Amino acid sequence: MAITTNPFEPPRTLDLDAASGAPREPMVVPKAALNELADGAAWVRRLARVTAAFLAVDVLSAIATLSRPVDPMMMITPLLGIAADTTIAALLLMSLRRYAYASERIQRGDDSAVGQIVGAQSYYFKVTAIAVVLGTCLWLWKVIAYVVACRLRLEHGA
Amino acid sequence: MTTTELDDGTSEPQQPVALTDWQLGRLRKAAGWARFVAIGGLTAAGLAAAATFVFPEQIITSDGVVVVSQLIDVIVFCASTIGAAVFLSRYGRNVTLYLTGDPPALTRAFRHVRRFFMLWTFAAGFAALMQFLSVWKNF
Repeated sequence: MAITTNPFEPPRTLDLDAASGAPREPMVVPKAALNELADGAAWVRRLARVTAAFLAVDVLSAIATLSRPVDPMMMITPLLGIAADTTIAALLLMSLRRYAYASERIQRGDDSAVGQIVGAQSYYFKVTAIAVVLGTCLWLWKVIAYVVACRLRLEHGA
Repeated sequence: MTTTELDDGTSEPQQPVALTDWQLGRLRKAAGWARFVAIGGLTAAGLAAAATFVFPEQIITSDGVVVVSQLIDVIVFCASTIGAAVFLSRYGRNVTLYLTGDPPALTRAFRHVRRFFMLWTFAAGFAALMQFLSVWKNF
């Protein structure tokens, strides 16, 4: 602590910051953690393939919806859902491919790829969070539409 | 400590990898998003389960027949989402421990991410299959 003329003076903020002057310890990634990342490569590749299949099914679903002879206004909600699904699946696929590539680099012994994996993890979870929020909102919208339709049916029936 | 093979067949010790400040920031963000996904996923699973009880007509036809595929869909969605939420929250907690100075916690965090990917591969595969069957039926 710095010497002051007043012994009863409260400590300054800088005095409490012990690490501010001293060099900080580097945050090392343990070898076991790298092994976990390398072991996960196969599963990330499989998930990327499944996500690609999901994307293909979404495209098929869009074609099926568009080929149905119904009122275009009735198609808005399913098409919005399919568009959101497809965009999210494409973004997830992109981050998974990046993740898988970095995991393979670690498997080959290039430990510096851990930074790329951390970036891919962050991006993947961010897109998943957006998907969860969008999915929940869309689902709530469907439930509200269902409840309104039920009420209207009851009113017309009465 | 790992080793790298040199041209003459000998090996030299490889320096352990240290994360840069930017990478640590990304790791912190990843943990935050993972926790968000865990909470959001649990909320979605809870809503889906509640809706099944509140609107049973979604899985039970007017003849009183339970639509098994719909029921299985809801059960698989809830179970896999709860499992994924557990793995992701553990990942977030262990990353926080690592950032506060517990290096082995990073190994645990990455193990939980690997398990999350394993579980999610099956869940996403099932969802893709169900969607494909639904499209096939409506074609």
